[in-house]
Amino acid sequence: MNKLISFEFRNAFKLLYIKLLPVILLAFGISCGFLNDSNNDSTFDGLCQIIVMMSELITIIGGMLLSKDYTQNTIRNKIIVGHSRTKIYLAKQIILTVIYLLNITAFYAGYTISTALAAGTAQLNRSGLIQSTCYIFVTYFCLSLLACFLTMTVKNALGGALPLLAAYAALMITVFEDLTDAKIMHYVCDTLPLAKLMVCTCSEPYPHILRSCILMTCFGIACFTGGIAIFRKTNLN
Amino acid sequence: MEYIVTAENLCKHYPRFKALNNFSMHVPKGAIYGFVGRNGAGKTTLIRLLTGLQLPTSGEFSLYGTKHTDSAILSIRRRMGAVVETPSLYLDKTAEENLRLQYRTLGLPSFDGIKELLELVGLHDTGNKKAKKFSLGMRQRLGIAIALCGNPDFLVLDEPINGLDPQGIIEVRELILKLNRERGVTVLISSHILDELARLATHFGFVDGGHMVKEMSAEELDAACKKSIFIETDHPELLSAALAGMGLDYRLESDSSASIFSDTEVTPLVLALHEKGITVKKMTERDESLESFFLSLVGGGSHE
Repeated sequence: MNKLISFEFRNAFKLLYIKLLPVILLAFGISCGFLNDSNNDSTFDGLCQIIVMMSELITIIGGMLLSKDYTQNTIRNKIIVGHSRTKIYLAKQIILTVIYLLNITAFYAGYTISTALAAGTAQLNRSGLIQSTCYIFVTYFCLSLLACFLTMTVKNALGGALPLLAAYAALMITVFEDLTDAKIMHYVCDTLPLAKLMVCTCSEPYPHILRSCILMTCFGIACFTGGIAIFRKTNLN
Repeated sequence: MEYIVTAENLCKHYPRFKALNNFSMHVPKGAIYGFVGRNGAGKTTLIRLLTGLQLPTSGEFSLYGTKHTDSAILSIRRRMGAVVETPSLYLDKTAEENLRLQYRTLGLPSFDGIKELLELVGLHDTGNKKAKKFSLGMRQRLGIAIALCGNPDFLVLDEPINGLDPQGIIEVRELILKLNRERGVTVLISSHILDELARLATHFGFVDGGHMVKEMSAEELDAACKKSIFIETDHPELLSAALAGMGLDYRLESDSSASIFSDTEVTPLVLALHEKGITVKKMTERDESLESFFLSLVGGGSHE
C-alpha cells in the first residue's frame, strides 16, 4: 500500500500543473487579500465566496490527474501486477484529497494573512472565522471524495470534468432551495459539498454548519465506499 | 503434469453476449501455449480474466494452483507479466521512464535490469524519444519489456506481433523462444497469425464461440495434421472422376489440382492417371497446415 501511495505521489508531483497550482493559489490569495480592503471584505467575508470559485480550478486539475490513468489505460498495469482494486482506489483518493486540501490551504493561508495585514483584525469575528474555516476544509474533503467517486466510476476523460459539473450542480440546487423553501431542499443543500459555502460568511457563519458538516461527511463516506464497491466490480478493457 | 493455469467451466457474460461459455483450459508449466481462435472467440476475454481486469460470471480458474477467489491470487499475479491488446504506456515518457514507472508500480527496490530489458527488446537506442512518437512495433516491444519487469515466470501476450514488420516478428519470436528455453518462462500467446504460432507453440488451445474446442500438444497436432499428395494435371474435366473411381480420399483444390489424403504410392497413382489420359504436371507432398486443421475443427463460416 505504501508503495502504491508513494508511486501516486511521485507521479502526481512530477507534473508541472500540480506543482504550480499551490503557488498560483497562494499568490492569488495574497493578492485577493490586499485588494479586498473595502466594505465588509475586511472582516474576511469574501473568503468563502472566493473559495467556491477556487473549486472550479482545483476540481479540473484533480480530475485531469485521475482520469489520465484511464485515458492512457495505465491503470491496467497496477491491476495486472497484483495490486488490489481497493488499494488502488484508496491511493487515488489519498492523492486527490491531498491535492484538494493542499491547494485550498495555500489559497486560504495567502488570503487570511494578507487580509489581516491589509485590513487588520480589529473587526474580525474570530469564532465566525474558525467556523467558516472548518466548514471550508470539511467541504473540500467531501468534495474530493465525490470527485474521486465520479472520476473512477466514469473511467474516461469525461471523468475529469464531471467533478466540476457536480460542483456547479450543487450550487444551482441552492437556487431551487430559495425558490421552494421546502425542508427537504434544506437538507439536500446541506448534504452537497459547496452548496452552502456561498452563503457562509465569517461575520455571519451559516447557522446549520454542524448539521451540514455531518451530512456532507456521510455523503462523502457514501461516495467513498460506493466508489470502492463499484471499482471492484468494474470490467476493465 | 504441473499446470500454471487451469480453468473449469469458466463463463463470462455481458448483457447481450456470452464471451466465454463453460470454458476449460490447462496451460502446462514451461510451455509456449498458443491460443487460437477467430475474432470474437473469447481469447482476449479469457486473458482479461486471468490478469484480473475483469471478473468471471461463474466458474473458476487457478493460477499456480491458487483459485481466483482466494486473496492470495494478488501476490501470485506478481509472478506474471501481460500485454493485453494494446500496450499500456505512459505516452509522455521515454522507454526507460516507462520501465522505471513499472518498477515503481512493482515496488522493486532498484532499477537494475532496465538497460538489459531495453536491449532485449531492441529499444536501447531510443534516448529521449517519448513513447507517443514510437511506431506501433516499438510500442509493442516496449509493452513486452514492461511485461518482463520483475522477471515474471509466466507471460501472457495478446496478439503481440500485431503491427510488427517481418523483422519485428522474427525478433519477438526469438525473444519468446529465448525466454522459454533459457529462463523457463511459461508463455500464453494468442494470435491470428497461425503460421507464426505453429513455429512457436509447444501446446495449442483451439477456441470457438467462447468454448475450448480442443487442447493438444505440438506433437499431437503434428500427428493429427494429415499428410497429402498434391497433384496438378492437364485434364481438369477427367480428374475428379478418375480419383473417385480409384476410391481415394481426396479434395479438389481447383479444377485441375487435388490433394490426395489416402496412403498411396506415387508410381501406381501416376500410372493409373496416365491410363485414363491424365498427365500429372506437378506433384508435391504436403502436411496439413495449422490453418486448415483449425478450419476443420471450427468450420469455415463467417466471423465478426
